[in-house]
Amino acid sequence: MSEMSVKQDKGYIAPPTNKVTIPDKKQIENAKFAMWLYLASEVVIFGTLIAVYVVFRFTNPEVVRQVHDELGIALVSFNTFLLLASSWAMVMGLRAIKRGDESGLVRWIGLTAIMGAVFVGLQYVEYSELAHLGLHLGTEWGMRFYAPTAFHGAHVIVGVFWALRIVARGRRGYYSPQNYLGVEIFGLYWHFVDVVWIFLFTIIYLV
Amino acid sequence: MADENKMTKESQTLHEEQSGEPVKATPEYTPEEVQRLEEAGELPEAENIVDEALTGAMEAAEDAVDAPVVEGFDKAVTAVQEAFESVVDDTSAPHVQDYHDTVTIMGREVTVPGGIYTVVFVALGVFTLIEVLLSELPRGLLTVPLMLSLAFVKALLVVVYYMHLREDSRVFTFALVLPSVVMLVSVLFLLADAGTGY
Repeated sequence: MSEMSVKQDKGYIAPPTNKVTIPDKKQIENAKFAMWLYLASEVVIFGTLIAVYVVFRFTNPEVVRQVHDELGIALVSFNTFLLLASSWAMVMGLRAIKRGDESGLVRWIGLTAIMGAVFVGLQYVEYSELAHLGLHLGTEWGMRFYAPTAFHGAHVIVGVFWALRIVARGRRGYYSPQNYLGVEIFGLYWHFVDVVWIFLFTIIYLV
Repeated sequence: MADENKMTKESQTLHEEQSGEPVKATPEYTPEEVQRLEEAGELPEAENIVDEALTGAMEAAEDAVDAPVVEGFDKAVTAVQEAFESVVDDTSAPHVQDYHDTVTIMGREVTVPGGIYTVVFVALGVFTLIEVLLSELPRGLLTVPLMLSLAFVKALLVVVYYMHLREDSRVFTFALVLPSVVMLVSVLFLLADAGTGY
């Protein structure tokens, strides 16, 4: 290590990692606004992917009908209920910490993570079934189907890890009725993922 | 402040060691220059420019929320909220609804853990079930519009109650509506030209 970097290391003081700062109203509003702006960008991305599928649906109704007949909707309907339930668990977790129930927060957000993980697992099962039917990424329908649903699945995976982080922090007593901004921001993300699936489910699987 | 000076001093020392030349101080405005700039109104202000820019952006966004499309979305949100609350009466103010387990459904008081959040979840489940049943029935002229409407109402319920849009700043509504409208217009353009080999 050179003398110069030693000097830099000595001059750097690492911030304490276990310090809990209570955000003020302005910080809360700014953080939520930032999250909404991020979600706005996601609307455009998902909107584009859905638009591509909708155009294909209009121009190739027979192909889509054939896929629907072969695939069925039992599995994906169950998955949809699961994601809706995870959204409910998420908001119940936020409610719990607002009421000062720290163990409730951990339980509900833990449940959210589990349901999100099961959702992704069942999506994998569905993809496997589609692969057996020959509906892989290389087909015209496949590329238009996998792009939005897999991109959504990636969001769910990120959400599951995020939820686990909230659970870990919650277990250490990081959150309180005065400090739940992190839970609320995660909630916005998770509910948005739910809203996207509401449209994907109807447009791709039902219509 | 002392820390900042210390860091500046360290940076200065590093720079001098690397370049072998002493660091020159940034020249300040002379009193004459300050007077001239003040008279011309060009004196840069010492305020935090980022803060000013952010405040300006927020004010512009506040003005923009009066756009007709946001007003229209607001009306849709209110309509869904009123329709939902005509059946489910959650009398508590939005900011304290988290604490109530009792809601009135069709005139009957019902106590469920989670209050309005659980009722919304049940509504989401019922609407999904209706959608699934509709998709299994023979298609009529109204089947698809009905399913899309149900999806829209479900999304609104999540946004209004779970994402707390009904009690948060209208700027957040604007942030959601603007890209949604751009997306919808784009989809309509694509659909208008869907048969040309896309």
